[in-house]
Amino acid sequence: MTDLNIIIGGPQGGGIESAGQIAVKSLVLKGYNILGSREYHSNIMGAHSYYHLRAKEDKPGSLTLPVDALLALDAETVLTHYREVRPGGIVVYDPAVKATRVDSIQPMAPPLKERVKKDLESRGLPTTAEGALKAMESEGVKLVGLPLKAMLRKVSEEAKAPIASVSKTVNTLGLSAMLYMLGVEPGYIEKAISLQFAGKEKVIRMNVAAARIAVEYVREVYGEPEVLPDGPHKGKVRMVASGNDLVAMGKIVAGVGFLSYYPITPSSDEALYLERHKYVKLDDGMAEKVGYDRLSVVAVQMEDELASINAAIGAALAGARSSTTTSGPGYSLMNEGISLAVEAEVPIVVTLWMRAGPSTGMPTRTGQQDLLHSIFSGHGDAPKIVIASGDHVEAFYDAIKAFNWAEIFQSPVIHLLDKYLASAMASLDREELDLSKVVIDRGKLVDNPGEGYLRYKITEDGISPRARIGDAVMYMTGLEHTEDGKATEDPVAREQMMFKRERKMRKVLEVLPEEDKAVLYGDPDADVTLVSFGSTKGVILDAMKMLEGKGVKANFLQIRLLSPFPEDLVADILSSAKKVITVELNLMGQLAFLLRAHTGVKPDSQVIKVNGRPIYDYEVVEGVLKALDGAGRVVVSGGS
Amino acid sequence: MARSWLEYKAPAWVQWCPGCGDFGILNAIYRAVAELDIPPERLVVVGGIGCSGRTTFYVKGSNAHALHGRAIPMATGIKLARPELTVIVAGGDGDLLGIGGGHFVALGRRNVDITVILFDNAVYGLTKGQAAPTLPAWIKTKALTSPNIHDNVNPVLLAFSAGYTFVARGYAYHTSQLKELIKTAVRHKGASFIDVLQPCPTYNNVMTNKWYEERIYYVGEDYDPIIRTREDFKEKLPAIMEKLLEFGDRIPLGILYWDQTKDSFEERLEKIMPGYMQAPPGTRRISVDGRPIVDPFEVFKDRVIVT
Amino acid sequence: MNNRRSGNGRREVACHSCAHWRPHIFYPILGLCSVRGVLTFEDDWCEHYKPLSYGEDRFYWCVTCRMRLTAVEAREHASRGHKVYLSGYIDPDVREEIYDAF
Ligand SMILES: Cc1ncc(C[n+]2csc(CCOP(=O)(O)OP(=O)(O)O)c2C)c(N)n1
Ligand SMILES: [Zn+2]
Repeated sequence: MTDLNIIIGGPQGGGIESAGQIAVKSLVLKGYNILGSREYHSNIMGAHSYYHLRAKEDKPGSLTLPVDALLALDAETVLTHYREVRPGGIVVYDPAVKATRVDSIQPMAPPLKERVKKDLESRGLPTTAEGALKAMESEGVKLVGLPLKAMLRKVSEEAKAPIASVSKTVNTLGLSAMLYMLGVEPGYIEKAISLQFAGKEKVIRMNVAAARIAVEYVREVYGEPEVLPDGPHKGKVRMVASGNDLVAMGKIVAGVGFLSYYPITPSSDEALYLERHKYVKLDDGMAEKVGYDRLSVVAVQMEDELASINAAIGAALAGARSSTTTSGPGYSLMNEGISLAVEAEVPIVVTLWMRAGPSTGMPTRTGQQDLLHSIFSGHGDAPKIVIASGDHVEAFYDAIKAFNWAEIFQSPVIHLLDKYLASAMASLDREELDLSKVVIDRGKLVDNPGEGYLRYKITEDGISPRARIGDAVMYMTGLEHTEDGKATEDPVAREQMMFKRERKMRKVLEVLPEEDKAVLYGDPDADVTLVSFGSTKGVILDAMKMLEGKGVKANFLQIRLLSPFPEDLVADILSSAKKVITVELNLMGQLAFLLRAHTGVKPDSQVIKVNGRPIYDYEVVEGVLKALDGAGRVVVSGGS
Repeated sequence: MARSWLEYKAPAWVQWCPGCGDFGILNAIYRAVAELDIPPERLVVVGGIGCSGRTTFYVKGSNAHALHGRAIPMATGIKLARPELTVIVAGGDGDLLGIGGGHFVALGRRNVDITVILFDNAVYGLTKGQAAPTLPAWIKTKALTSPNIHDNVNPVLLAFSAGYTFVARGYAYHTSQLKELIKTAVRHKGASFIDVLQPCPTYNNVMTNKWYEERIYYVGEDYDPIIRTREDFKEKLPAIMEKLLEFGDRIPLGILYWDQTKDSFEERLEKIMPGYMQAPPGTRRISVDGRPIVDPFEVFKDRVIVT
Repeated sequence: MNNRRSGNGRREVACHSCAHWRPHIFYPILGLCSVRGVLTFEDDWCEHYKPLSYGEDRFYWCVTCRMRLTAVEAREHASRGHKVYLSGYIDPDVREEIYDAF
């Protein structure tokens, strides 16, 4: 069984992204499933960033540490990650960085410098990159030095290319050397390079030349490595996409017509990807069926998040499937709009990519701190739908379901995800994005409302026929209203509308299938029940297997629908749980709070992580073991 | 005329104070849309929050009542989803220029085909007469505890510099002239702005009908605000600037600036996505037999890898 | 004179000490020769060579600190052994390698 873990690190802007992408593509071509995440600073260029990836035969649900290989494109990477490589693993670096002192690295965070210096000093090692390399070597990590300058010169001579184009191959040299040492045949690396730079022939040629020179060099110095066996996923049409990409794809498949946004990490890449595909040519058969041949999505960068949500509301009123995307700070500004969408019963989808707060916090780091924020957003008793996706595949389908639910229940739907999922790449099979599973349900949308139409007609399920603005004389408002949408403060009419809106949320719980509410994975009789939501899903599923190896039988309750909370279902599942441990990336234990509020179950322990890094499989294991030892709250803190 | 303005009167109690300028504006709107023969279900009046925002409920239309300050973005969403509709924004000076000032500017940049009618009473009517962004400095209305020490913005100049392609000023009690301004504004394909001066008899005891009548005048035949070419712009700009800046002892009314050279936002969208207008987001079909019409493996080829 | 070498075998009179050279901001073994408009390696040399100095009142680029400096700062950093140049070289395609970050 292959389980390959890699970190590629260097200065932001120094080629980490394309190196990471080439690594991902090489391993996917080789037949593996991959999961790869970007970790970077809130900085344009120069600060440390890294690509963390894992390749397995089955789907990796989690990233992990220590890794098998570290590619360090600068001294800071060596000094940041030297404790994250397993014995027997490799580090690829340029010997020229050895002399660099910790203190001389300006971008490196001062607290990290102090920790590194203390560690190296305690081992009696110099506080330089060389010290860190020695520390690795003493723990059985193989040092693979690549004299980059000499190699670049060779690339330039052999490819007869100006150094300008050769300069773009520094990352490729290191990456190819590392992949080759890990047993990836050069053919895959070269094909991945061609895919990465498709359409740019010169760049491909140069990088292929660099890959060959790097491979030749390490083969000569370190000998021929054992070839990594091919994975089981060869000969397939696959997709490699980030969570951001998949949500954008889901929206387009769902028929989104309007996307408003104000740029904010980690949502901007979703908008960007959607914009890239906002204009789609339909094939002739489909064009005939729908009556147009070019599908156009109006994607507008607004002046702020207030405008974004209110424009999305406007477009939804006019009949478009309408959405906006943001993260915590922007969602704070959208709060009043959410409340309006509840009161005026507007079907909008708000994609909320959580990032590390409070306030501007750590914009490019992950967390699950907006659970309560999303549920309780909007003033004045504003019930709404909140769905959290557990992984890439769920993110795709949930983006579609969110629109269905928004229109069926005429309610805002908050699609809750996080920065980790946003930027993590995953490999997917065609069957995983299966359109036969996708329906488009527009609920009680009516094309010809006719005379005497009442927008807020009281009905048994609370849901009124919905006409588009422009098709009937009507009134939509955020003021309390009568059935015809006219403002009212009549106590009886008011109550009617309050309970009408409540009935819709009851209906949500009634009609949604269990798999969209809460899902129990594993043996119902397990000794421990882990409860979580969002992107921890894969991590916990991986950790369950590891726990089993340690003799702990755990199951996992993933809560997908956070509002309205499926309390009967969750209470029922938890009633037979022997020990309940919540796992979440926030300080307050927001999910634990909801569990208590809705089911009366007080978790026996809470495993939390708040350092802005994704949670790793071994951390869940460590957390559960400590919890079983009686710890009430376990804080896990891995990652760089 | 095909329709009587009475057809646009929604059955509602119009709850403004006696003597409020809003009545004049409302009446001018009724008559303008009637003369333009806009079917009520195709007419969208988007109101803000404030006395003026209530216009939403008084005009028979397919209307939306927005949050305080957010009428413009809501109207933008509606218009871009269904570009064939007539969209009018009705808002106060606090709503459009105070809390919603950012959106006011952004609409100019986009030049979406929306008509913005500013109910300019220089006070916050609905919250008891606080100073609004258009109240000149050192005026002390009865509701203020001390004179206003904020300067006033110039709405028409702001609209001009933000990029509105039709900028006019009217007076609430001159309903016939105002009706004509509204008609021209609605017909104009782009962001139109009408600053409608109006007394607030309840809270603004300084800028009264008398105060306005002593100052306002209509720009004459000799004043040409129309820009048909870029050369026009250079040539006419000095005179236009003079009118836009004039506010004090004399206040010009009428069309102050009308740029006919610019594409509306919808036209710009059509340029980058031909076919958008024919199948706009609000009304186009998004499924066939309840199934999506696009396949991710066909559309998102940039993420597909054949192993 | 381009053959003069320091103890470690590195040429002292080479691009890396030339006023016309703009080191790559991340990989300063490479850099742009602002006279010829080509990238060179740090130990290349050509007839346009002109020794670096920090007298001129302008901005400088410290490779060590990845920071822009004024002349006063440039002299100070250089005296501490930092590699200070008149400017740095940014790959024109750097945008493809960076993320949205706020
Ligand atoms: C409410 C909110 N929305 C969005 C962001 C994300 N954001 C951070 S900086 C920025 C734009 C900065 O542009 P500008 O003000 O022109 O500054 P520049 O970086 O160009 O100096 C945005 C959109 C945020 N931090 N908070
Ligand atoms: Zn320095």
